[in-house]
Amino acid sequence: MKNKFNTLWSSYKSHFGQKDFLQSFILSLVMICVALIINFYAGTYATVHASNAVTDVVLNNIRAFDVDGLFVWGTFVFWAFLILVCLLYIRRAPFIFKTLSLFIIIRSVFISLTHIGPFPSQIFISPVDLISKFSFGGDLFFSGHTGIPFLLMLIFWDIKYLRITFLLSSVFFGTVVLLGHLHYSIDVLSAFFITYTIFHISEILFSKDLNMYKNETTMNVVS
Amino acid sequence: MNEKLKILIKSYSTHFRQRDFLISFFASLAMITFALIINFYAGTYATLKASNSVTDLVLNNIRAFAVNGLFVEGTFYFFIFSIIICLLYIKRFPFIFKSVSLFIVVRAFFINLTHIAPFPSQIFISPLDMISKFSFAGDLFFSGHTGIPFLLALIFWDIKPLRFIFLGSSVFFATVVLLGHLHYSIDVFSAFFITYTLYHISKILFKKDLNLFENDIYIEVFDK
Repeated sequence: MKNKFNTLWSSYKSHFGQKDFLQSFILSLVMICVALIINFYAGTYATVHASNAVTDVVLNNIRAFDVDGLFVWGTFVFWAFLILVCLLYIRRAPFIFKTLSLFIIIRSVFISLTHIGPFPSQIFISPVDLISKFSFGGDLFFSGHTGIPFLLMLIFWDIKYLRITFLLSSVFFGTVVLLGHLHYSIDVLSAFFITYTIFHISEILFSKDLNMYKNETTMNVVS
Repeated sequence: MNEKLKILIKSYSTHFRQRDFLISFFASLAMITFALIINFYAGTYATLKASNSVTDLVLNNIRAFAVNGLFVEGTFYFFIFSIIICLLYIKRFPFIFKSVSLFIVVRAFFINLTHIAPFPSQIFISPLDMISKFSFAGDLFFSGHTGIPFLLALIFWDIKPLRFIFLGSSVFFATVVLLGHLHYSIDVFSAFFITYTLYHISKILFKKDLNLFENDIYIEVFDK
């Protein structure tokens, strides 16, 4: 354990001693902040402008389940796990945050385009919950809860245990949002397809950050 | 011209003598037929089950334009052009048809998930038009007219003129379907993203057919 900690400490010193990495890291933090602000306004706009609900092959054939606990706490646990992974795999952090920012911004555009109303039996998520600052009633297409874990799965594809963890998270959240009637089925299914493309766009736009960890020039705690 | 024709004939005789290619060719024809049958029933079902229309950032802010001609005839000309290209680039034929089949089948699945009704001011496409056998009022998400040309752009990415023609066609049809209120904006924008992923799935599923033209084993009329 002490050894791992020493390696982690050396890794941080090494990375943050590099000007390029430091700049990229700070930029990625700025980008995620901007993306979350855009997401807030886009989500609010989408919810205000939500029009009619529509029928759905899944939602019309299953009742709404009381999954608000799983949804809210699950998201919280997921984000905590993600932050931990980013701290352990610090050299991937710039690429991860920039890719997430791109995902959030693209999703913000999508949620503002076509204003489908929430399904009538959508479960109630308290506006007091922190999640309500990031996820709104009318921001439906496409499901961020399905897409973000899938995106991280693609980023950590080379690390098997993380690949499987994130894939399962994606399936878990995809299921939860359908059971809670929080999303339509096209929101969930299309999330996989759209996220894959966003990942590829990221690989091009942020190739410098991608190379930072793919070329293994800097140290990392866990291989 | 004579020389090009000779190369074309030689290309055909070479390809169709190869057992693997012949099997793949006929399999691709069977697949597209099957896909179109699925598409017919899926589109009909989606139209029947369409529930409510919704508001849209683009459609609510532009009027519907009479783009019926562009939509119907544009599709016809695009289809003819695509067939000609497939016949000229015969070694790509199996991969193209199998990829398009995959696209159609996945789309057929999508159009039946969530039943959004057409936008109220959607222009009228006559049921007598041939296109009505392939494109229905209620089969909205995602736009095939935007996706298929984009798929072909990806398949022909290495041939610059075709890349631009197909990209241009994709943008053209995307614009036409929005102007005619035939599709919502998420149908059009998501088509690019979903198609890109479908293309990559195709590259895995139909690897053997992809190798047929990527490895330049066979003669082709037009070089890259």
